[in-house]
Amino acid sequence: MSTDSGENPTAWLQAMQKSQSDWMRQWTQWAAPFMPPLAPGGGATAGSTAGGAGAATPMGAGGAAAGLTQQVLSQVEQSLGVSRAMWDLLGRSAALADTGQRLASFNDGVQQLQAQLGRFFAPLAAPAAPGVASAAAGAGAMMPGMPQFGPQMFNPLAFGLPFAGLPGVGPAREQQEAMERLASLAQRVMQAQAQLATQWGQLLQNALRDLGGALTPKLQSGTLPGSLREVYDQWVATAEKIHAGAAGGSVFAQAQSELANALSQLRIAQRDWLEEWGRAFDLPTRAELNSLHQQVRALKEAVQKLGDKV
Amino acid sequence: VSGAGAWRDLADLQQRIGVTIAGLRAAAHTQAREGCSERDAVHREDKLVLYRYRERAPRLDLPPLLIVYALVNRPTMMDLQPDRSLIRRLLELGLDVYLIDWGYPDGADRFVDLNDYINGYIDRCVRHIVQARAVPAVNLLGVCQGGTFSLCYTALHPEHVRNLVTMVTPVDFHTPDNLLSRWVRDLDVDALVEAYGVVPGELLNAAYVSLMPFRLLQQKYLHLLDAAGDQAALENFVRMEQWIFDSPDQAGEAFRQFARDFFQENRLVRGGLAIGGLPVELRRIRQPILNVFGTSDHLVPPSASRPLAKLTGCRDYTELELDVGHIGMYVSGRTQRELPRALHDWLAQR
Repeated sequence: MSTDSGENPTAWLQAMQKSQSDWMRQWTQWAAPFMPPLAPGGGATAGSTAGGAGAATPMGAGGAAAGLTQQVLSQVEQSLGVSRAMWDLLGRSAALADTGQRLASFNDGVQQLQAQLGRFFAPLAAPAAPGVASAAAGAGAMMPGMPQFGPQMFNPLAFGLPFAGLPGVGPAREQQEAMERLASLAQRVMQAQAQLATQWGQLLQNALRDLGGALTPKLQSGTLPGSLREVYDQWVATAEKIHAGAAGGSVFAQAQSELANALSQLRIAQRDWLEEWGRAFDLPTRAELNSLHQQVRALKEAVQKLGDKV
Repeated sequence: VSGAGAWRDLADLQQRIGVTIAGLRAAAHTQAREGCSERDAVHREDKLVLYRYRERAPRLDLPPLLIVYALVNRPTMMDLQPDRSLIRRLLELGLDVYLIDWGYPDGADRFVDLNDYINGYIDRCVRHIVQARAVPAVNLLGVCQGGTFSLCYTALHPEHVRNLVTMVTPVDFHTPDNLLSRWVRDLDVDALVEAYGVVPGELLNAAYVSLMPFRLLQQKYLHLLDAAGDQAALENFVRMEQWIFDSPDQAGEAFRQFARDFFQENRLVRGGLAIGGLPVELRRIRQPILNVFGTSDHLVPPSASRPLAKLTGCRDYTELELDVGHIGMYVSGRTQRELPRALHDWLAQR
C-alpha cells in the first residue's frame, strides 16, 4: 500500500532494471532447451498446433485470448523447466534396454543438468566489473561547486568511482564524498547479489541432485512417475526441503540480510543525495518533514495530557 | 514416458489454461470485502476504527470479546464470507464481538510506536467497551502479532482483561524452525526503517512468500489449473489472493521495536521488554489463557506458541492444537466447525 515507492527513472535504476532483465534473459536461455519448440510463425506451440487446444479455449480462437494463453503457457513452461528436463531425461533413460545403462545415462544426465545450472549461476555469482560511464554528458553545471545536472548524477558508478581513493577537496568536496559513498554502496549491493546468487545456485543444484536420487529407485524398479505433473510436484517438494535447510543456515541468512542491508544503506544515501538537490532549490525534504511530524506528535501528547487533567 | 504422452500433457495443459483464464475473467468482480457480517463503527481514532458486530443470536451474559488483529494483514480473514467467518460463527453462538481495524498507516505514522499501539490505541478501545457495556473487563482475542500485543496489554493492564485467547501467536521468536525470525536476526532494522520511514507491505509480502518460494511463487498458481471449470474455487482463490497481498505498510517506529525487541532479542521470553517505559512481565498475567495454534503453521510454528504455557502466572492454561496452517486457521472447513464452538465453550465456562 505504499505511496512512497515511486523513484525517478534514473540511469541508476535503469541499470538495475537491465541487471534484472539480464537475469531473466539468461534464465530464459537456460530454460529454452526444455521448452516445446515453437511452430513456424511463432506463438503457437507444436502441441497446440497438433491438438488444436488453443482454438478450443472458451475464449475463442486467435487474437488476444490466444496470445494470453500462450503467455501463460510460456510462464508455466518456465516454471516447469527443471521438472521437464528431468521428465525428458527419465524418458530417454527408460528407453534403454540394459538396467546398468539406464542408471548410468540417468546419472550422467542429472550431473549435466547440475552443471548447466552451475553455468547459469556463474555469471550472476561473479559481481560485474563496475562500468565507468561518461560523466561528461550532463546538461552543464547548475551553479559553481555543484555536480552537473543530468541522469549521470544518479549513477554513482559513473560519477563516484573516478574519484575513489582521492581525498575530497575544493568547494565540491561534500558532493564528491557523497558520490564516492554511493559508488561504494552500489558495489556492496552487487557483491551481496553475487553472494546470494551463489547460495541459490548451490541450493538448486543440491535440489536437482536430491530429485535425481529420489527418482533413481523408480527408474530401477520401472515404476516411473506417470506424468510430468508428478515429477514437478516432487521437484517442488525436494526444492522446498533443500531451501528450508539452506535458508535457515547462517550462510544463506547472512547473504540475504547483507543484500537487504546494503540496499537500505544505498537507498538512504540516494535520498541524502537527492535532498542536497532539494535544499538547493528550497524544496521540502524528508528530514524537514520528519522534524514537523515529531513536533505534531509532541503537540498531540501535550494536548492529550492536558485533556486528561481537565 | 513417451513423447506422445508429453504432447498430450501439453495439449491438456493448454486447454486448462484457457478454461482457467476464462474463469478468472468471470471472477474479476470478486472482492475480498472488509467483512460479510453487519457491524457498526463505535470508536475512531486516527486511522483506527473499532467495530461492534450486530447480534445474530441472543447475546449471552459474557464479557464482550475484543479481537486484536495483527498489523501486517487486514482482518478480512476473520469474516471473509458467510461460510468462512469465525466472527459470524461466534455471533451465532451469542458472543458480543468487537474488532480493532488498524487501517492503513501512511507517511504521517512513521513515528507511531508500540507504546501508541498497546498503551494507547488498544487501551482506549478497551476503555471504550468497558464504559459502553458497563462491564469491568473484556475478553481479549489476539490474533498472530495481535496476540503478542494482547499478551503485552494483559501484562500491563490486567485489571481490564477477564480472559485471554491467543491465536497463532508468536511468543518465543528464537525456536529453530522459525525461518522468518532467523532471517530478521541479521537484518539492520535501523537502516531499513531509516530507508523507508514506513515499511512497505510489499516488502513484508516478499519475505513471506520467500519462506516457501517454490510452493508460493510457482506451484500454487500451477495448481490453480486444477480448479479449471470450478468457478467457486476460482473465486475463493481470487478472494484469498486479494487478502494475502493486501498488506498495510508498517509504521516505522513500531516495526523497528517489534523487529528488534521480539524477533532479534526475544525479550518476551528472555525478559527486559518494556513498552512505553513500563516493563512487560508475562508472570503478571493471572487470567485464564486459551492458546490456539496450527500444527502446520510455517509462519508461526507451534514451537513459537507453546512456550507461553510456562511463561505466565496463569493457573488456568489451555492449549488447542488444530491440524491447519496459518491461513487455514481462519478459513479451513475444520476450523469453521471446531474453533468457534471451542472458543465459546471455553469462555462460557469462565
